Amino acid sequence: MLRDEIKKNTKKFFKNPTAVLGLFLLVFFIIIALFAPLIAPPKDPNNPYRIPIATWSLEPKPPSPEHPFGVIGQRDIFYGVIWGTRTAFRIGLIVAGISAIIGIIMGSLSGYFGGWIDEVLMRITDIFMSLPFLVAAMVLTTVLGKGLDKVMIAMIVFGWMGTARLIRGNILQVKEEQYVLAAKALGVRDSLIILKHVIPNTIFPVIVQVSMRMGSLVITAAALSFLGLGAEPGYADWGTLLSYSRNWLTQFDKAWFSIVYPGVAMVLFVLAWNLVGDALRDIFDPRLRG
Amino acid sequence: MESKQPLLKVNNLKTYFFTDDGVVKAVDGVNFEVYPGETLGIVGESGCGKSVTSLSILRLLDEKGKIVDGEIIFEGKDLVKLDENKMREIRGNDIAMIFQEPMVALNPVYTVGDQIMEAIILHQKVHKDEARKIAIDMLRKVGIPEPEKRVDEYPHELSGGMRQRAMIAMALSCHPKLLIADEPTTALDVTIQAQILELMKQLQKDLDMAIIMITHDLGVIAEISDRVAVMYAGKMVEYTDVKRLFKNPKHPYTWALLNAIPRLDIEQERLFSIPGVVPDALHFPSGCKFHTRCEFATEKCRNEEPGLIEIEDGHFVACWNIEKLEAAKDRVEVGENK
Amino acid sequence: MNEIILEVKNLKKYFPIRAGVFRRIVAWVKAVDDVSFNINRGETLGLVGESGCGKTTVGMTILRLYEPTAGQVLYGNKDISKLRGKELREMRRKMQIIFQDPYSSLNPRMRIKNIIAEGIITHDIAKGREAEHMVAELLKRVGLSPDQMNRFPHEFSGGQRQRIGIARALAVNPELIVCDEAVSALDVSIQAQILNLLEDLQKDFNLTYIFISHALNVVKHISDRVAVMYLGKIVEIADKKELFSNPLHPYTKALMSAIPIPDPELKRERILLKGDVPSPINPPSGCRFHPRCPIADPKICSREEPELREVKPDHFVSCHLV
Repeated sequence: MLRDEIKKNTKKFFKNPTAVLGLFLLVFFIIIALFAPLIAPPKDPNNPYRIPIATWSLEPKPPSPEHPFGVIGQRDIFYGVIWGTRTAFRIGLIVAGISAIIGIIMGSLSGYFGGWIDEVLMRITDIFMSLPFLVAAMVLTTVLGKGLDKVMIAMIVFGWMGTARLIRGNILQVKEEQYVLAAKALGVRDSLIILKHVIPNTIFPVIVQVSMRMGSLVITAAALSFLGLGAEPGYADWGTLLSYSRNWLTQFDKAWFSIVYPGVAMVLFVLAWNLVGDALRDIFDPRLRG
Repeated sequence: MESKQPLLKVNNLKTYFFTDDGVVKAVDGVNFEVYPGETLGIVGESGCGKSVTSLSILRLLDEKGKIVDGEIIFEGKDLVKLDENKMREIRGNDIAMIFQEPMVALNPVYTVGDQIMEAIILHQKVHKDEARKIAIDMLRKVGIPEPEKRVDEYPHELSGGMRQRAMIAMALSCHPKLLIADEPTTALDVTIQAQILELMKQLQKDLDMAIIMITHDLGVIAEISDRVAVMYAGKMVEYTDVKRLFKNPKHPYTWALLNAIPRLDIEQERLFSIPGVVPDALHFPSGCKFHTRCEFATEKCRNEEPGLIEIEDGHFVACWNIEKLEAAKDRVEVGENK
Repeated sequence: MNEIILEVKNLKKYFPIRAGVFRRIVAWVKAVDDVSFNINRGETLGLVGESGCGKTTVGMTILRLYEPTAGQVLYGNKDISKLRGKELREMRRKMQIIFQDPYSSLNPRMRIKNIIAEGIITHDIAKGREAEHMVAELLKRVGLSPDQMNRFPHEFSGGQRQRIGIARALAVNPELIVCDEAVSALDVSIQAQILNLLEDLQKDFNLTYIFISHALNVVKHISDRVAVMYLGKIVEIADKKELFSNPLHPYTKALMSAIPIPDPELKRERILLKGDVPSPINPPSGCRFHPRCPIADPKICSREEPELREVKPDHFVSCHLV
């Protein structure tokens, strides 16, 4: 029976062309990330995230057989894009994952217990939400110091509020549903009601939200890198690569490849997660199942 | 009645919805007339197409819904073929509509007065002060106390019954010849429903307009209609005057429905129940749409669709087995009136 | 025969209205305000009234889904409003509820099998295969096929879901079931099916029903006794036949005359009430019905609250002028 259900959903998933495209892109990125050492062998295996210096000239070099995506800031763009895929996954998974956990804890405490706990937690959430994200993240990164891990900490600290709000709202709504009352009237314990009735009906929107955020977080990280707050120069990160082109903004014809290749990678990465997120939403909502 | 010209004549109306899951034949060949000053009741259960019929008349269908066939003749013009500008002139001016949920029909950011005046200014081409006077008059007519004050209030400041009155005032402000009322009392408490029905009857007399009353409640139909169309699964199954329908229903569905309602005026041991479920609009059965739930159904009912036939003067029925129902009628004991 | 199964004494349920930064209580909604009645084993008590009269709150408070503000709910000799923990869970087995909304009353992510078995497993009535067997029997009893037990609620129509809700309630072998607008959301043809089913089940399992509804005709059909509520109070309670042939409270009379009857040739005197139901936050003084009452006496009705008194054997009315 369960197998039928999975079969049906898989079939439905593959009937949806955009979902298939999203999954295809995602698999493509995962393969690149997994096989990065083979696609772009690192010069220093102990420090593969460091893009090797390709030339001593400061001028950007257009794509050539030796450097298929060209060279910017003395670095090979191809190598940066390939190894940057790993960085993108790392940023996405860690930031989206940890901030979702914080959000779920804050949101469910608020939603279940209500009263003053709800008041206090939601006011804290409001304070965090009222800070402009980029400014706050910049300030925190400046305080903590430069580096990708610092950027990630800043993004987690200022990135959990959406999930907290979402899960609290869902719990408040589910708490009023008649099936929860019916379970109470049957004498089911509170802990079981939460486990069997509340969580299954609240957690899936969060999973969808997290998968959607995976992509957009990479853009945020890139924006911080572009502003000079991200990884140190030479680190294999799409945002860092883009920030090299800052010096050549007026001479697009000379440095177009430094924007196009990392840019396309980033756009496709975001698109992949969004499409997969959309498909997950359709699958997780049994009311939409045909 | 036959001597008069009908105000509205609907011929073989078919409205289909083209959804991702398939074609929904919401209204599939419906015919009826509405004469000036009378009330036609359209009754049926959820999904029978009664609301879509009314939305089709005003051409207010969403982008998935299309009138695929038929005519809607209103005062000699076919509304199906009218261009959008002409249609807009008819809406609100000649034909008005009221809905089940006044909160949806009333815009929450404008005062009640503004919304009534908008229609008056648009259709009657009068000055603003004049329109305000008409609006206040209209509110008084529908029984809203202190209309001078209420005219400047917002919809949320009114109670459910008052909102429904305000919506009626808005609909009637341009003296339409036809009012379409789609479940106007379903969301209201019974004592308020009684007030609104009384008001509608009174206004109909005063303004000499025709009403199409759409409802699932046979009690409301009995109360307000002159003639009734019973719908099931996109089809009209019976169409006649109200007295005949309640006294001598000829379609098994009408008959079963009448016996399925718990009555206040009669003692019933057990309710007559129609087996099965209301069919899903995507998968209407073949032949007669009611055959899956009809106890008289035969092979013919499963395969051939019965047409709406005039079995006696002004009494139309779509059924192959009218005699069988007549023979079975004695079986169900309907108690005596108190 | 007339064994009292449930006794409600002076039940009150007020909901606080909070406002401002500190969520201070600024007012109370007096949803149920001093309600008392008894139910005999095996009978159906109809609870009828318009929206905001407190009928649903009475049902919820009896089941302790809401905590009562004051008063007692005696089941046998136990006061339900004082039970805790295990004792309360045990009591829940005896009293069940069927809800109005067939869509929100079933968990969309659970299979029918698990929805119905939840009570069986909670109360250790059966496990595994045996529980599944019970679910199959219950499905058959409410007119569904046991093959459907692995499906999800969205695969069923409104009437079928209501049957599933009934099976869930029956699973724990209750003595009393609160039916809260159990047929109000259904089409007429389906409503008759469910009403007939409820009547059959009552006979088979010797059930006691509290049937809450705004539809006077439905209540009349299914009840043995009927209580009419208005703004948190019972205004009249009597045997069904007595109440419908001889209504005494002016509100009951108006309510009955307001119901449209499916007979176009029946001419009735209609009592039209003025205005709307007032808010239960600030109910009118004296008799709560007096601002809308066609026969109200300004000398007494607006000043003194009438008591529910027995004017005839087993016919209670709360009106000064009866």
